[in-house]
Amino acid sequence: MTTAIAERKNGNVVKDEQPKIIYTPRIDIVEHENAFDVWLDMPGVAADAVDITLEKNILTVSGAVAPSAPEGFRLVHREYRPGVFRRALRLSRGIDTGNIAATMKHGVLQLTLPKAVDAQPRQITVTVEEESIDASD
Amino acid sequence: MWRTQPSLLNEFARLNREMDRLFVSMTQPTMTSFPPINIWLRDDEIVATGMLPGIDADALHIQLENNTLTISGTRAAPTFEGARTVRRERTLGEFERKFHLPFRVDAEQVKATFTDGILTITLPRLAQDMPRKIEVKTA
Repeated sequence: MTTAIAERKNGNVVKDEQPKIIYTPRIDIVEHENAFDVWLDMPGVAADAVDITLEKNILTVSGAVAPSAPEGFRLVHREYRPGVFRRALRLSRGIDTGNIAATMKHGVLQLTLPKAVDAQPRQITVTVEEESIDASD
Repeated sequence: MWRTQPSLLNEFARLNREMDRLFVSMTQPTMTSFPPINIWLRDDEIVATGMLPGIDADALHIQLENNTLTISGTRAAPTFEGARTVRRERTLGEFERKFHLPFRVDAEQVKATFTDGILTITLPRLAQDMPRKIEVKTA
């Protein structure tokens, strides 16, 4: 399907404002014998703009999208807006939280969550926090 | 027997939430097309920006034919031996988007950059089609 882009000369141009939209990054989780691998799609977020915090057993990932609006142009077709990516993961006991590794490449954050050596393998889980996170700030 | 019931209810609740999530993502047009693209316009140039996380530049194809811009490519799915998939939400595999542009562009001058998963394509207008100011001379 081809999307026709009209050259709207006057009015009706979409505004690219409201930078406070919170996106839930899409996530993949894979379990290996000794670790979990987690990927989060966060396009437009630079490596130094990613924030990862661990509070108790909740790992929260966030990052603001760098603005990509070219100067002096009119936005005539919009399928995404600037915003902030944010998502939380609940880690069970048995995750070695001292050795979590994170890398950012091409707008994808990859986390490696190693399992603690002495933990019971069957009890270790990484689950997505389903309840909405406070987005008031 | 009684013990299994709460977990079954939990499972239904989870399925419900999952259905809600699917429904919401289907009603948002921005989520149905991958990759999402914004198009920007100036009298002499078009800029297309897109969210293409995790895609290598050499797995991406940008084509221009009869004023139609085609962005296509493949997003490879990582494969592992003996690993278990816990959750899978990301769009993987082949994709293609087509846009009919509002004016003719100079295919030789099209440039594309890729930064942090954001693709930016600049398409300058064909020189002979540029809007010109016509001087009015006094007789």
